[in-house]
Amino acid sequence: MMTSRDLILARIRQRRGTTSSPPDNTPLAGTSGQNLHPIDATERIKLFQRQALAMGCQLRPCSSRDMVLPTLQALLNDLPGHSRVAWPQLRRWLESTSLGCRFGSAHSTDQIGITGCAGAIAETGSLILTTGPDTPDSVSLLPEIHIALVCHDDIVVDLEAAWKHLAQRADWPPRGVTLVSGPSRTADIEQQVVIGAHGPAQVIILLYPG
Amino acid sequence: MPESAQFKKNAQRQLNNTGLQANLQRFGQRFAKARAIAIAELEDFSGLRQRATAWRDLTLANLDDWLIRFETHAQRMGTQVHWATTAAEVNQIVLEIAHKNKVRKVIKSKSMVSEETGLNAALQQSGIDTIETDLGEYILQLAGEPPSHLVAPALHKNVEEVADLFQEHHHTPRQTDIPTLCREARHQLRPHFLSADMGISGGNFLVADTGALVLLTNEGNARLVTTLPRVHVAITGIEKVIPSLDALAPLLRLLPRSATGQSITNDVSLLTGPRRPGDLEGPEEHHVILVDGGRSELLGSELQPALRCIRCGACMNHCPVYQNIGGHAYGWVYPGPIGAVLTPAYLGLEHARDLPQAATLCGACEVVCPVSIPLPDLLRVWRQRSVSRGLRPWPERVLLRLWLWCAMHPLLYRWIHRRLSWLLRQLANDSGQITYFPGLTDWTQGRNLKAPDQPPFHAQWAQRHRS
Amino acid sequence: MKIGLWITCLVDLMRPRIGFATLNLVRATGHSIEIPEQQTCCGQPGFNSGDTSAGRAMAMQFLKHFESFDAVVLASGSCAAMIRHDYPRLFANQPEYQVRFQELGQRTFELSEFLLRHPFDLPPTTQRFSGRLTYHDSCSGLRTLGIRSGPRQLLQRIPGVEIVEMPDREVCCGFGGAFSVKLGDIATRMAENKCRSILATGVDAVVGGDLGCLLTIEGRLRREGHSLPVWHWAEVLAGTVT
Repeated sequence: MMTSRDLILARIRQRRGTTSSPPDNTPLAGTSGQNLHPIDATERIKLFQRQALAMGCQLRPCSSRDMVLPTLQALLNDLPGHSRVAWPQLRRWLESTSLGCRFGSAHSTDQIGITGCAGAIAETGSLILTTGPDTPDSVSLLPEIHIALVCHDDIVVDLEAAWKHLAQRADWPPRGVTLVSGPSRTADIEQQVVIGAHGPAQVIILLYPG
Repeated sequence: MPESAQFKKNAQRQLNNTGLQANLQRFGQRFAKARAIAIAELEDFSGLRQRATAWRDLTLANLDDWLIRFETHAQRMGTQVHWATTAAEVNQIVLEIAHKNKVRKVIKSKSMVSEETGLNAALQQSGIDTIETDLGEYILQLAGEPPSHLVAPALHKNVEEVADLFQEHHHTPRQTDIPTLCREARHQLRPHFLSADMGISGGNFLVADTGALVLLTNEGNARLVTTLPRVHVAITGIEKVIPSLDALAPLLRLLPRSATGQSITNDVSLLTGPRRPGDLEGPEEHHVILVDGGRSELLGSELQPALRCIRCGACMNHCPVYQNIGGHAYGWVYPGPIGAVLTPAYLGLEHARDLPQAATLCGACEVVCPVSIPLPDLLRVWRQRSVSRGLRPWPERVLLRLWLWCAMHPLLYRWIHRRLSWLLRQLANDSGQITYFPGLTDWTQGRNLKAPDQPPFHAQWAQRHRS
Repeated sequence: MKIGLWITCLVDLMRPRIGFATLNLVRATGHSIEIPEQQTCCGQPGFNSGDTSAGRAMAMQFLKHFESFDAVVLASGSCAAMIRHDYPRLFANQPEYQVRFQELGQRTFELSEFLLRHPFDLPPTTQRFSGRLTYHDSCSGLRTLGIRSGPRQLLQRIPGVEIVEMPDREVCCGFGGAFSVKLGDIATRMAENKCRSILATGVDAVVGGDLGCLLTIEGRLRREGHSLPVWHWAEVLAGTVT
């Protein structure tokens, strides 16, 4: 008996009018239609900041890597919510401090989630988050506030550069890659934009030099 | 008979629905204006659009191969790939997965294909609690209504209606502040996210080279739906496959901009397979259902360009017909110009014979389509098929034949124009206006017709030349 | 240069004045003009209703009567779009005809396109309109032929004419040929919206380049009791209306 798979493929081939040929995307490979001129690191960081702000992120630039922890500490003191969870990946960096956060995947009661990132995209102001044992997705998803630590060196210029950056990973493709651009939002009632839908209502980026 | 067969009646009803009209007015040009700004920010929209179109065409030209390539890569990453020829088969596959996993509660993020198949009803009938989580879809689920727009499914509802629904279903005090209502929905839905056994999503794209499913959302609900439950099932049309991430980039630049004027949606997720060893979360099973449902019939036909569609909704946001009647008048899942093309294809022309007529062919949709679908031409293709299958009403057929015959005989044509000119003057009132014209009441019910005040041009011209 | 003048079927029947205004304007360019007697209709009613063979038949008739001219001029964006854009596509399977239609299409001009390419003086007249106008962009001319600034530029050659743009100026008026008599309710609502935009400008008259749209706009304005004049822009330019 013909399976649905066979049937659908047979229909496609019949409508196509040709026998199967190996797929080939070489004529279009590498053409993106967006010509962001090559920009240097400084411009790239500026562009990322501009776009992330436009997407509704809050930025906390740090003058050095050493300033990240004090900045984070000060930020947490100002924010409501004592239930904090962070990526296990950040354990070694954050554990020594008195931030009072748990490391692991988030619970529904967690109010603040702290993550790093696998990269960031200047073109869109996006954080690139990948899933893995040390980087659970729920940390950037369940809490109301998402704090992300982003190193200047993580920022790539555009989507194409992001794909290249990702493809170099040993675990490529990871189970999940999410480009997060600002807090979650909805405009489903009368097209009024409301920040904070099912995901975080605040995304705060701590940006630090490499 | 599906609602799509009653277009004219539906449209009349919607035009007289003052509540809906107010909601449509509020919607108005909002998305269109936001889009215009976002597109203007692009360095080279037409170049980008050409690339995106070329990528879609390239995929459609070898669709079988790209699907197999997707399947191979997805399976390698542990995704279970299913194929469904019909809507019924989709529901059957979902139910089988649900039963096998002893699923009692399903949370859904937006899936238009599941609207095609009536999946929610099928799940509910099997005793599986099914909850929509996109705010618009959730509102409509409470109201028991289908979506009326691809991107803003509940745009036909105002805040008062939402307030009533929430009060009735949540048993909470009535609120009319929009942010408060959104918070309320978050609080109501969060426990469902945490307790659901299975998440169902659509799919914006399938990446053949990596086996990834791509989802775009603003609310974060798709991430929750695909992360928290034990099982994730994605349902998507076979046409949604693209070769690679190279193809994804231009499409990502165009889809949110064309839809709502955003440069990117808040979340873009690329999902490949189930949870991996060591992962603390993620579904244990990941399924992708590839749905035909009439799509393969469009391949190789004049209508093939419709399969490029990436469901941004720009065509309806710019359609003057849609903007005046809303999405429900179209009577099926896909409204607006793309709906008028897809509905006859997926349901059969005889069930949607007026939809291809529901356009002035003004071309606004074609201009904004990010993948250059020639929508007016495709509507004309359906009109041609209506004519060749004899599906148009007989007075129209007779008139068209008569018109053609006269137009092919210039002397007769001249004579008829002279008689018609005279007749129109007889029908006019003292100020030269015709307010009723038998057989043309569709015109005269809402517009006058000013009668000619001279004989036809050619009659006058011939007379001048004779004299 | 020998010009063939095409009088659209709507102009012939409903507003012959537009035909004469067109004739006067083309004459003002100094070229010789002929109006072939055998012309009837460009075929849009059939073509847009899905009767492709009717479209082809009318195209052949057009070819027969107009191929010998150096240029064809007509005062309608939608008929010009049909001839230039759709005729060649109707003969995709007959390359020899397709080429002929393409060539003829390249020599076929909507009136504003022609007048912008050929210098002319405004025809003499005793009283020319002066005042505030709003211009309605008809869809086919606008989107298929890209006619946007041409008619506006031409109208601004008239001393004392000011053009005021209406809101949502590129939104369809609801004519759409047979659409307006098949789905009258929707067409009426679209016309109503268009008239609201027009009236919001507070102009002395509204002009456009396609008679179908003009009949729609005029018909709706009169039904609502407004007396705002509705003209083809060629009538204003030719000085046949004031």
